[in-house]
Amino acid sequence: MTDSKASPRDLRIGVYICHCGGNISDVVDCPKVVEAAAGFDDVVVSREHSFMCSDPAQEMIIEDIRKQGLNRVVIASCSPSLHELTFRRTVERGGLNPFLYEHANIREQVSWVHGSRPEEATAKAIRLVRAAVGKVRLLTAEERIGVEVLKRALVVGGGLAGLRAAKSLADQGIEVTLVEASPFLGGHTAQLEHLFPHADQARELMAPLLRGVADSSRIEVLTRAKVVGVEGYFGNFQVELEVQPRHIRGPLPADKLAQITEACPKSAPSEFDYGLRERKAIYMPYPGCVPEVPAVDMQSCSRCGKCEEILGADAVDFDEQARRVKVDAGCVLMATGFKPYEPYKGELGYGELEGVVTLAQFIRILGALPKDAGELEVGGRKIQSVALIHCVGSREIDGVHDPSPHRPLRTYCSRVCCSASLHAASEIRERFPGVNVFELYRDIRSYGFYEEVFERASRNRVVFLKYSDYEIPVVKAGNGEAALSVVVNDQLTGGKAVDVPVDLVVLASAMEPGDAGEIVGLMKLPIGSDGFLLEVHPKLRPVELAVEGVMVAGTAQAPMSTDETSAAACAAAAKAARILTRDEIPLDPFVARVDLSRCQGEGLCVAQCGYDGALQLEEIEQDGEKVKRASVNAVLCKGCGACVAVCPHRAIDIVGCTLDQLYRQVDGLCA
Amino acid sequence: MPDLVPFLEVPDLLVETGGDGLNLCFGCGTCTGLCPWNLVRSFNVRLLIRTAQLGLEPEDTADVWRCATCGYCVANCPREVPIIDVMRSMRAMTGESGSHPQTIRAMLASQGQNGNPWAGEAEARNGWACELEMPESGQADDWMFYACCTQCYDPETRRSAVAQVRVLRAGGVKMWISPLESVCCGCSVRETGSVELTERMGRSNVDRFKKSGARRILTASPHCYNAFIKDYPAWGGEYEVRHYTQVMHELLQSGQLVPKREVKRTVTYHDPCYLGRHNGIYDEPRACIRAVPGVELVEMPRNREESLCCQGGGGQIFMDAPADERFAKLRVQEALDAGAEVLLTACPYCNSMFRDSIKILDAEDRLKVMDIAELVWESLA
Ligand SMILES: Cc1cc2nc3c(=O)[nH]c(=O)nc-3n(C[C@H](O)[C@H](O)[C@H](O)COP(=O)(O)OP(=O)(O)OC[C@H]3O[C@@H](n4cnc5c(N)ncnc54)[C@H](O)[C@@H]3O)c2cc1C
Ligand code: SF4
Ligand code: SF4
Repeated sequence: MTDSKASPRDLRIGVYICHCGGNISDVVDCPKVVEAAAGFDDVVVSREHSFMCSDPAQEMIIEDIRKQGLNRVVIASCSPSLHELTFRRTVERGGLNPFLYEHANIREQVSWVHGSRPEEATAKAIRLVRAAVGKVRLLTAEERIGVEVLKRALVVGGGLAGLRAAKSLADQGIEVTLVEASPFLGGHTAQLEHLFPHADQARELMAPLLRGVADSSRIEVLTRAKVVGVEGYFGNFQVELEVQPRHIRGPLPADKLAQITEACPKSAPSEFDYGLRERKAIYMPYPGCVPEVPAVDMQSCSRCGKCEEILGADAVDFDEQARRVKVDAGCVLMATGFKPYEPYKGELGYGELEGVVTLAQFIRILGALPKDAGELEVGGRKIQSVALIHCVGSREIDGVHDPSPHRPLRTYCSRVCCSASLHAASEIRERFPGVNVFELYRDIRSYGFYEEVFERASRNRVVFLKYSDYEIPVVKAGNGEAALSVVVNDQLTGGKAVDVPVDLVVLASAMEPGDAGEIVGLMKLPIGSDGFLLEVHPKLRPVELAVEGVMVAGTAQAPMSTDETSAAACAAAAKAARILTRDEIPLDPFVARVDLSRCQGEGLCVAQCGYDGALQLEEIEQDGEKVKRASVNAVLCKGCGACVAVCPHRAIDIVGCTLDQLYRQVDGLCA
Repeated sequence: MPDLVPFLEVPDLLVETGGDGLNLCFGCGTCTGLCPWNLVRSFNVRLLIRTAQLGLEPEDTADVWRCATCGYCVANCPREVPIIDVMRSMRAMTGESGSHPQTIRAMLASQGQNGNPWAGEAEARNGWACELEMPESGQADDWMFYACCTQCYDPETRRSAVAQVRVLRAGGVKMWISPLESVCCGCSVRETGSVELTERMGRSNVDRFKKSGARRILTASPHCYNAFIKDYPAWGGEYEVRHYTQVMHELLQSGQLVPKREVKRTVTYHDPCYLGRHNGIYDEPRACIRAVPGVELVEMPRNREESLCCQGGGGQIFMDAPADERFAKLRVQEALDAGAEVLLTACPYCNSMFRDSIKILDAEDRLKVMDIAELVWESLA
């Protein structure tokens, strides 16, 4: 060790070498590392243990801190991402400041990668420990940064996920602003009919939840609204919304509702029915929707004034303008959902042949049939046989699926379509036993308890045909008897071509990522390669995004069924509540710190900083003079160190990773 | 080749005629993998079921007639597809157009004319029992002994029937012989898909049995046992039915039968499909064998639930498979490999099938086929 004069006096360092139950000690000669460490300056305790993270080992360290008066601790074990936090807490329990701790990784960086060269591995472990001891000497006691929490959640998206999360939060006493892009709540679940696996009617199932949200005094619902601006940080976001006008003020009596939709002369394709039917310019998707106030689509409206005649001038305002709304929120829940993939023109006959529809459309068709309909009729045609084709737009393979018309390839499984198709197949067979149903699949993925959906379909004598990953079925016009014909090389019949004559083809099309909007760019929310929002860790932190204070709920994250969506939404709400029920959130102190005695206010660092608001020049008084000096917003600073590299005066450093500390580490490695 | 076009009227009909569950098959191929046919030649059971699901023509119509109804696939099908029932319905459908294999047509003709599959004269039915002087009726609590047609008309197998009666009598069982006018239980007619003839024969037996006052029936063959239990109640024939090994086992247990003479032989036991897999009787026959002093019972590798079919069921016994396509040959070899001198069974079909294969293998000096009753009788007499 060089330069002992720079070190604080009375250092008493404890070094602990972990065997990791052989993971380390099978390669590294741990006793030798212990012995070497004991020889480093100011090391008063050097020990080993088979599992340093175990309770007895932690107790040993705590006792050493107390009895031996340790004031610095180094542990050499696995990756810090695993146990650095554990050991900081250990040190804290021993009565020491948790930031007087340094971690050396001798598993991932040594034993696991140098298994065949134990001697050199041991030498490397010694160097890493020496580097850590060098650095720990210069560490200073630090406090965690406290962030005040704004006690409101912003929920983006008013489908099942957003509704469920908003209601859960409100039930815990938390204020919520729920932002929905369309004029109505409910999302895609409201467009479904009988949900697999148990055939609950979707809108009936959602009704209490919708009412609960609408009636809650803690939930502010904004429809036709979008996030257009975000500032601030974890616990303290300032969000700007743009709310498009509805042009109608409610509530309205039921009879008037019927009258206006009757009277309105203009129409447009209905979003709710996926364009299968028309709706009026003034519309509500279904009776009992929330809000129960119609909206006017100004693009198709001719301002004829018919609705005004019926509702009165007070209720209608064609000139109502978009407005901006500001919301302060402690955290954000992304529940922006999915989009049903619309096949491109010509994909399996879609858009070209009559009688080819998506599953989402077919569910609307089934929903519109009278309950006691004796026959399956679609577009005025009597249907006697139906083919459902799985995996349309999902699980695509480069070279098999033509990527050009619909880049990028969706290589993921949409998870829900198997069960939804099987369920629809059963519904057809049960309601219209005379209709033959063919299910063309690649693999049946009615996973987990949805097995019963498959079981029911096969008991209903649905006929299955399996196509291979490499041979997509062909849909063409039928010859004579049936309107269409589907040709499939059936893997269950030795790969032979089977020509299935049908009257209707239903495409179980993919679930695509929804359009989460500008907020993604504004908050730099991570998106996975499949286009869905990406959680921090699929198993350990499944509903949190890497941007702190932002949670994800439901199909904004990945294809999910409604039950999974609800579970995810409740989990996200729980995570949010954990933040929002606190007054302050403690953050690690590893951010930039300005040494005012050196800063000259040149601002090179500010120009270099990549995080808005993290570093600024601020006017302060110094020695009676007003000067500009760099000032760090500890909450927004990520501790990346870009500023450190550009400061010519060495006036800025990252706490826990100062240049001097780094030099000592390098010294230790090179000695 | 033109594309195949599904014709769902076919599976509809198959389902109606007993093949319900056909649609449950998801094509795993377990049935093909287990089917003993594939030990001797290829037979794609899965594909045949698949063909039925889509209502397509089987690639080879002969396949429709292959199943020996041994039930090994049914016992192991993960989807519980009633494969045998489907096969039977397919046979019924194919048979309707008159395209039975020649041997099956002959068998059915004999059944219709003579009431037995072996072209035997009806009057000769009870000839096997002449030396036993069995009564033609008895008390209500007595048993009616019903021999298998194969025992009645195959001179080699008939010895087993005689032994069965002798042993049971020695144990004090009172029984009379089924009336001369009885006909075949109908198992082979049923398994080859002739639904109407099966019922006609069944009902005629129910009539005869009623006249002779039968309430309790003792069968020599597991096939008759199976038919009386599973088919006859639908035609008003409700009986207490036992396979002779069950009753023999009771007699040995209660001490009414005590085999004394040592029979120093190494034997093995073949579980007949209709006794074992179809009706779950595995232990009683073995207990009977073990009751004979001096006998050493060795097991073949495929035993109990895994027993290898002799190829006698499902009409196969009448189809006379070529020598190199016989399961029985494999079974005889297994018995030899197990070190047995006697291959025991409790079914006249197995008995006859094994005899043939021993001849084919030229193993008559090394292995003998016997019915369990014959072994026990040796120890009693
Ligand atoms: C054909 C089909 C059949 C299905 N059948 C079943 C079934 O039978 N059973 C079952 O359990 N599941 C089924 N599902 C799955 C089910 O639809 C989803 O699990 C559920 O709808 C997901 O809800 P969500 O809230 O995550 O998303 P969504 O329903 O998509 O809701 C998202 C909401 O967010 C809004 N939004 C989007 N972007 C923004 C933005 N930028 N700003 C503000 N708001 C925004 C949207 O307008 C929408 O209201 C099916 C799916 C499909 C495609
Ligand atoms: S759930 Fe089924 S249909 Fe949907 S993509 Fe996955 S495998 Fe294909
Ligand atoms: S074992 Fe059953 S499920 Fe599998 S292929 Fe055979 S019949 Fe079908």
